[in-house]
Amino acid sequence: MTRYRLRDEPGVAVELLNLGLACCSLEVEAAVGSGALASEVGTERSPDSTVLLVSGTVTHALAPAVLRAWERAAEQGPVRVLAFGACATSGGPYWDAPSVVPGVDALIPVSRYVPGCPPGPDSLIAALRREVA
Amino acid sequence: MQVTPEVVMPADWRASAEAMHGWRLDLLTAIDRRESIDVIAHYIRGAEHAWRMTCVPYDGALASISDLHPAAAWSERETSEMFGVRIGEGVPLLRHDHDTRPPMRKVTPLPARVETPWPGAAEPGDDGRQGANPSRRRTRPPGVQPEWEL
Amino acid sequence: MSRHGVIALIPEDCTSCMLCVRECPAWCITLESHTEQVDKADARRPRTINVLDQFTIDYGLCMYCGICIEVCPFDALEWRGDVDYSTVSRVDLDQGMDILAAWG
Ligand code: SF4
Ligand code: SF4
Ligand code: SF4
Repeated sequence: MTRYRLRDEPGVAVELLNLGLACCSLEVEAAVGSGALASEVGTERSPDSTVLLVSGTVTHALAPAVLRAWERAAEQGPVRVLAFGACATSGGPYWDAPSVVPGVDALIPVSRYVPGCPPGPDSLIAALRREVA
Repeated sequence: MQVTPEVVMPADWRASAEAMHGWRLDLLTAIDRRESIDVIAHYIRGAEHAWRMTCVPYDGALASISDLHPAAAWSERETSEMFGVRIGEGVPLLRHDHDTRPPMRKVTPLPARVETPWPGAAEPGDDGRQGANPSRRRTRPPGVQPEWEL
Repeated sequence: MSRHGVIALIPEDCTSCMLCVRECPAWCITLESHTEQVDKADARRPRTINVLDQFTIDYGLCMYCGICIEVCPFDALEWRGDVDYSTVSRVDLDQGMDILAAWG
């Protein structure tokens, strides 16, 4: 889990747990790389919000791990789940695949859906702002 | 990039892999041709690309090349179980439910595509009220094979 | 062409031909239309046209492949630049033609 500050909302610190399961995760890295998400490593300030970001394809094989990650995070306090991308939202391009969970909301409660395949870093930031600001 | 593969006989598959000594095996996968499986290998050396292909009958088998190109180990097991073609030992990798049909065979239906009504079945201008607006041409939805029961 | 933010519909240009609906690999476009007769003074027979009633893209499923945009013979679909399109409910990602027409 890494703490970030949103460049456009400097007052907001968000604890982000990125479950990078497939290609969508690269967009999260792009958001960090561009500075839109600024790492807050080593600060004492407690986060305003904890966000579990599911970025990628959830297979049935990985479903228990996703559920565990959410349970662990939820033990610490309230967690908002962002379904980032078509795969996490509905199965996306793999909606017809027997090995893929057709949307992570079948496993854990989702606070916000960000469609796209993949959604760009701008869409991630826009969704985070709506969720935590 | 050269994309026309060099086709070899299944018996020569290992020899063709041996001849690629010094190349890196980048990819090994297959295509279901409905009576046989085309197994394809892609090799890279520097900026050079090379494709090798062989055709294995549904009930046939192919020798493993993973001792020559260790990168083949995962792909051979994956290709074996996904396409239902025997490569080497055919040790299961991802699927352990081998009583079900190989998912990458074209005859294996995707249940979601069979159960979900296809939105393209409607005809232009047909709102169901006129009744007699039978489709002139039966169109098959993308991603659906003719042998699947719809 | 705008950046690949969202797919927008220009309803006036859509003839309800169903091409995009049929080509979409994700099956995420649905379209409802009906036929109407238009009488033209100079035409010998009344002409039948398709009238678009509803056009929906399920953005939760859409894989942003752009095939629908490519196949539309009437350029009634296009990329637009919106990026702030997240929703709090899954069903709200089913976006009808009012939303599809209004994307910025
Ligand atoms: S939504 Fe698209 S880009 Fe994102 S993980 Fe799925 S396939 Fe990859
Ligand atoms: S972009 Fe692709 S998946 Fe999305 S509506 Fe168009 S054809 Fe369907
Ligand atoms: S292909 Fe174009 S004209 Fe035809 S139904 Fe789709 S949007 Fe309308």
